[in-house]
Amino acid sequence: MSNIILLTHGDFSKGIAQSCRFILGEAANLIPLSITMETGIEEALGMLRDAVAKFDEKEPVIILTDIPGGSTTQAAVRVLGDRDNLYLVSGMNLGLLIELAVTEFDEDRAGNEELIREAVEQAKSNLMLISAAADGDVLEDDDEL
Amino acid sequence: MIKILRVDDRLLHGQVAVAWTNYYKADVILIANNAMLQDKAMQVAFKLATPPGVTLSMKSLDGAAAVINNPKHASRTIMVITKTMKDAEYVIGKTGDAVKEVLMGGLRSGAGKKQIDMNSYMGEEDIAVMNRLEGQGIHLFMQADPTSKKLSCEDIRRNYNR
Repeated sequence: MSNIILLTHGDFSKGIAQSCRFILGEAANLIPLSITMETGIEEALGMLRDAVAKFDEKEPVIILTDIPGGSTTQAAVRVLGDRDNLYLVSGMNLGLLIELAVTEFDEDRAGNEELIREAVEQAKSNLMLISAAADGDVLEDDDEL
Repeated sequence: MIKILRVDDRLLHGQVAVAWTNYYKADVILIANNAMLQDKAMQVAFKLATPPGVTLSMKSLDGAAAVINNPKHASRTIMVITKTMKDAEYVIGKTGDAVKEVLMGGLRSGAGKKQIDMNSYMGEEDIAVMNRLEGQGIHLFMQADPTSKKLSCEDIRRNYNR
């Protein structure tokens, strides 16, 4: 099971964790954390370290944050050095979370980084403007696929 | 080859699409629905729900039958989807013995329908269609997703009559 810590501004982390469970069930260890207007960076660091400590030293743990420039990510960057098997991705969305939740990670750092990179690329491709009006394809109702 | 015909009133959607396509190793999803041909929003939604590497084909009931009858596609592994049992019977009636298995699931509630499974409801006409298709030697069963419990025609009739 993937170990994923979600750190966001406000309750986004709790909501996206719930959405993930809605689709996958209890397929991953998700720890949602929130910072508020009053949370200082030291406090955020403390929350993150407590969450990371719930997992065994050797186990891969992924921290997902909401935006790269936010204090969520700034806190997470400072925790990254604590362990070898710790990863950080910012700009999370549900597609990314689901993909990471069902990916099998192990103790191989380079391999894990590659898997995470692939999931990030896939999540990026899911971010798109959808316009039914602009879809120019005309359906042919024939015997071709 | 027609691997399976699924009856689902939402036709193609999210996790179910992924789960069943994977399970049957289908490389073509053939949606048979007349209303869809005039509904751009439906078409776009189904394109988005199609897993990568899978060909999506959207046809009328007659168009879908023509695809199934075209020997050119024999090497493909096709999952056909219809919205109703009646549509399934129509397509099967036009395609000889191409369809061997019918998977029911995601049949919404409606007037005169009774609950068969957690998410599926059937009416008298649906049961009649099921019985006719069963009589033609087609294997029918109900299952929401590949990990959930499978109901046979017998189970379905028992649940309908309880």
